Amino acid sequence: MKALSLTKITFLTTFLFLLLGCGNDDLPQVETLQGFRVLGIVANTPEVAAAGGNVTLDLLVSDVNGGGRTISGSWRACPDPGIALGAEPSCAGVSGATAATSISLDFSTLGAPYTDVYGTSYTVNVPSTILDSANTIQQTNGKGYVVVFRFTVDGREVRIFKTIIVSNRTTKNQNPADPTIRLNGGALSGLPVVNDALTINNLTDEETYQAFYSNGTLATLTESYEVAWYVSSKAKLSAGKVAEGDSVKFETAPEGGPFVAVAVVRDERGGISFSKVDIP
Amino acid sequence: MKHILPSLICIFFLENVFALEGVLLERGTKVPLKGTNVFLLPAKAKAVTSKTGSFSFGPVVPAAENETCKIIVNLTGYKKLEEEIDCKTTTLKLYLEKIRYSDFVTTVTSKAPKRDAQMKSLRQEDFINMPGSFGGDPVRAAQNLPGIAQSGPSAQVVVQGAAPDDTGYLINGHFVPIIFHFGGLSSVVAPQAVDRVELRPSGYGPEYSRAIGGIINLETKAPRNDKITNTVYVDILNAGAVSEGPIDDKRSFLISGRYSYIGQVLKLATEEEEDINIDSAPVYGDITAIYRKELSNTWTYDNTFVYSRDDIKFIVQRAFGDDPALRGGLANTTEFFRFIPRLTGRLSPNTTTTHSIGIGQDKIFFNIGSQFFDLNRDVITHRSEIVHEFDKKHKLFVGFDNEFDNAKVSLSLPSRFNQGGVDNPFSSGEERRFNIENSDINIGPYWRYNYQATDKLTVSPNMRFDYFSETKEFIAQPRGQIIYEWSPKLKLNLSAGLYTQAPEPQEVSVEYGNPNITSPRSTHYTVGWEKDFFEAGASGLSVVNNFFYKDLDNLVIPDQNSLYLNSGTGTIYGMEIQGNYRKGPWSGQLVYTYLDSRRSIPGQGEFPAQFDQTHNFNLIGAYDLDRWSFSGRFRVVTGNPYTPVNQGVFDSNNDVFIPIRGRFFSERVNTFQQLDLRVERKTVYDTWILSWYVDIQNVLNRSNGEGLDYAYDYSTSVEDDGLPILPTFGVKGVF
Repeated sequence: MKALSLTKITFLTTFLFLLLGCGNDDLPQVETLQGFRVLGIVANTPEVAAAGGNVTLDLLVSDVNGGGRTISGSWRACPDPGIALGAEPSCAGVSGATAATSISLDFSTLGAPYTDVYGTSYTVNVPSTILDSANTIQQTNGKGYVVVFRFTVDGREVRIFKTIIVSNRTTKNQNPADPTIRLNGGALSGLPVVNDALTINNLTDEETYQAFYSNGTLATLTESYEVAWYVSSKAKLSAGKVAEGDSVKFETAPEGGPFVAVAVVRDERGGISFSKVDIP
Repeated sequence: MKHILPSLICIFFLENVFALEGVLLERGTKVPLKGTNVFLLPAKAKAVTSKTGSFSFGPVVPAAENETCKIIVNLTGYKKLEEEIDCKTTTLKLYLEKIRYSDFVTTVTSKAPKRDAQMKSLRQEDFINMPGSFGGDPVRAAQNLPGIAQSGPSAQVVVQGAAPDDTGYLINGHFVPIIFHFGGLSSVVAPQAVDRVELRPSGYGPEYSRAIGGIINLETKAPRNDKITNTVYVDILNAGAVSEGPIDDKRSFLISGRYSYIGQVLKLATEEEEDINIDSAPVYGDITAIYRKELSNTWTYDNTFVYSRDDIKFIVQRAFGDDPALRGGLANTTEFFRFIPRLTGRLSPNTTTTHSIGIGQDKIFFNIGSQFFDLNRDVITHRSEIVHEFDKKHKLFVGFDNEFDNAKVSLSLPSRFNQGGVDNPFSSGEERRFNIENSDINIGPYWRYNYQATDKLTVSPNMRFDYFSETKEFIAQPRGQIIYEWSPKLKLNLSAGLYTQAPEPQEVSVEYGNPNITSPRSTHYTVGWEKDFFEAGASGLSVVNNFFYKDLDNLVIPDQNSLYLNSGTGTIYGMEIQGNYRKGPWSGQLVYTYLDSRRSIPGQGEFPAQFDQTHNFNLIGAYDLDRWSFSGRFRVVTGNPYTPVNQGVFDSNNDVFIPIRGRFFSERVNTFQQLDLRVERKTVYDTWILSWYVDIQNVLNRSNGEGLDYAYDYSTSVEDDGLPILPTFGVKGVF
C-alpha cells in the first residue's frame, strides 16, 4: 500500500508547488484574444439517443488580428477513440470514421473584431451503432461521438474537437440558456477600465441528470456551470475561467476599440451557450 | 601523656591544612569528565576525577601568604585549563573546553558490520553540517550520496535513475508513506533524533524489498544516557526542541517536536499574487519520541514514535493550467504516525535476535473544487530476525518482513493520464467516484547465509520471498553477494539479485485500474571496490567505486484501453565514485555518477527515463577553524529530459487543451549548476552552547529550470526558473 500513498502524495505535493509557481507572465493569457481560435463548438443537441441522427454544429470563432482573412480546414467524425483515457483526439485510424470534409472560414463576413459564431453550420450524422456492445453504465452515462476540426493557420495546425454524447438517458442534456454579460452590474456599453468586474446573468437553472458512479451506484447529479471569459485589445482579466456566480476583474484595460468581450457557458456535459458584446 | 603529643601535632596540622573538593565538567555540555588528573599548585597535589567528575584534595598544606593557588587540567582533546583560585576556596566547579564540539552525541550501542557492501550511510556528524541541507536534514544531506538524482524541490529521493515511486522509505526498517514534508524542505524526523540515514541503491540483501529502485532507511538514535540535554532551535523554516537523557541507570528517553511556519512566509510572499489566496497558511510539524531500556546485559527494548502532519489550504483564483477542474478551494492534509517497539537481544553466545512492529495510521485528504481524494489507512508492519553464527565461517540470518493494512478510500477524481511526464488535463479525464475498503497482506520471509570461504572471501547466497495479496503473487527473489578482502584496506564486492514491488493500488483497482496487473520487477547487478588510504592515520583519502546494471521488466504503463498494462521495460546502468579526503581541519568529498537510464513501451520504443541524468558531479568541502565552520557544495548535473508538447488540441466540451506529445523525453532542460555555502559559529558558555548558521542555497542565483511552462494551448513555452538564491538562517541553543 505504500505506493498508493507515495504516488498520491507525490502528485499532490508537486501539484501544490506547481500551483505556487503558476501564472507565468511571459506566456499569453487564455482569456486574451489575439490570433485564430475556436472558442467553442455548439451542438444543437449535445446529447442524442442511441438511434443517433443529425446534429448541427456551430463554431464560435475569433481572429481579432487576422484582418478578415480566410482560413481553410476540414472536419472528420468518429466514435470516441478513448480521449478521456489518453487517446489522441483524432479520427485517423479509428474504425467508423467519416471521410474528411473540407471547409473554409471567411472572417471578412463577420466584420471586426472578427469574433462571432461563423455563419455556416455543419451537420454531423451520429450513427446508431455507438452504444453497440456498451454495458449498462456506458449506456446510461453515454459514449462519445467525436467531431474533429483541423485548420491550418500561419503554417501551424489548429485542432479542435467536439464530443456528442450518445446515451439511453430518457432526458437528454440541453444547452444552457444564452447568458447576458454585465459590467459592474450594468450593461457593458463602453470600454472597461482596470478593476471593472464582468459577470453574467439570465442563466437557466442547472439540470439534474442520472449517472452511474464507477462502482455501479446510480446517482442523481446536478450540473455545474463554468464560464470562460474572453476579451480583446490586449486586456487581461483576473481569471479566464470561473464558476457561474463569480466575477472577473480587468487587471489590464483594453487598449481601445474595437473591443469584444465573450462569455461561454458550459454545463460540463457538452452543453454550451455564449454571449458577446462588441464595443466599436 | 604519650598520646597527647601526637594529638597536639594533629591539631596543629589540621588547623594549617585545607581540603579542596570539586567537580570537573565539559564546558558547554556539562558532561562529567571521569578519570582525569587535576593538579593543584603550589601544593603539587593531584586528584583524579570520579565517574561523576568529582575530585578532592586534602588535606593539603596551604600556600604561603605571597603565593597564589592554581588548578591545572590537561586532557587530550581539550584546551588546557590553568586557573588561579583563591587559596581559601574549598569547593570548585571546573569547566574544561573541548577543542572541537560536534553538535550531538550519539550513544554507541553496538557496531554491526555492514551487511551490504553497496549500502551507504551518513551518520549524524556527517549530515548535521552539510551545506544545502536546510539545517542538517538527514535525507536532504543523503541526496549528496552517489547515485542520488538531483530532483529539485521534489519530496522524493530518486535512486540510480529509477522512477520516484520505486524508492521505499523506512524508519527503523518499517515502511512509512513519506520521508519529506511539504515540498521536500525537511524530512519527517528531526535531525537530532536520527542516528544515521542508510541508502541501499542496488544489489542489497534480502532483508529489504518492495522497492525496485532503492531503499532509504532512517535509524533513530539511542538517547544519550549520561546526562539530560536540551536543544532549542529556530530558523526561517521551523522551530523545535529536543530533550534527551537518562531516566535512570537502565532507561533513557528522547523527545523532539518541530513546527514549521513556512506557510506564514508563503502567505506573505503570495499576498500580492492575484492567482492564489492562501486561506490557511501551510504548516507542517512532527513529533519524535524514543524510549530505551536495557533489560539486561544482553537484552534491550526501545520504542520509537513518529508523528507527522502537513496541512495547506488555498483558494485558487486562476485555474491551474487553465483547467477548470483545478480551481476553487484547495486543501491537502497528509498525516501519519508510527509506533515502533523493538526488542533486541542475545539468545545464546552465538545467536542474536531482533523483533519489531510498526503500528500506525496514514491519512491523506486532498480536494480542489468538487474533486477529492480521502485515504484512511491502518497499518501494522512486522520484522523479526534471528542471526546464528555456527562458527567463524558460517552465519545464518533468517527473518520476516511483513505488512498488513486496511485502507478506506473515498474518491471523486477524473482518471489521470500521464505519459512522458506530461499530464492530460483533469477536466478531460473520465470521472471516477467510489468508496472502497480494502485489506492487504504482504508477507516477506528471507534468508541470508554468510559463508567465509577463505580468510579473504565471503560468499552470501540469499533468498527473499514476497507474497502480495493484492495481486495474489508469491515471488521468489534469489539474491547474492561476494566480498573479497584483498587487503584490510581494500575490498572488492559483487552482488546480484531480483527485486519486486507490488503495483500501486490504483493500478490494480477494479474501479480505477486493471485488476490483471502484476508486480514490476528489477534485476540488479553490481560490482565495486572500496579502498581506504587512511592506513593508520587520521588523515587521508578513501575511495568507493561501484558499477551497476539494472534490468527492469513488467513495468506498469498507462493504456488507453485497459487503463494500465505490464508492458514497460527498461535498463539502467552506470558508475559511481565517491572520494572522501580529510586532513586536519580540512575535509572534502567528491561524488560523481555516470548514468544511463532508459525505458521502453510499445509504440514509443526506447527513450530516456525521467531522471536520466548522464553526469552528476558533486563537490563538497569543509574547513573548521576554532569555533567557526565553513562548508560548501557545488553541483553540476545534466539537465533532466522532458517530453516536448508539439500541439494542444482544444476540447470544446471541457474547455481545455489536450497535449500532443513529441518523442518521450527527447529533449533536456539546461545543465543544473548550483553552489551552496554554509557558515556556522559556535559560542561555548560554561553550561550551554549557542550556535548559529547561515546556509545559502544557489549562491550564484542561477536559473535551474526543472521543465517547461506552456501557454494555455501549448503553442509557446518558457523554461521555468527553479529555486532562486535561498538563504536560511538558524540559531540553536544546547544546554
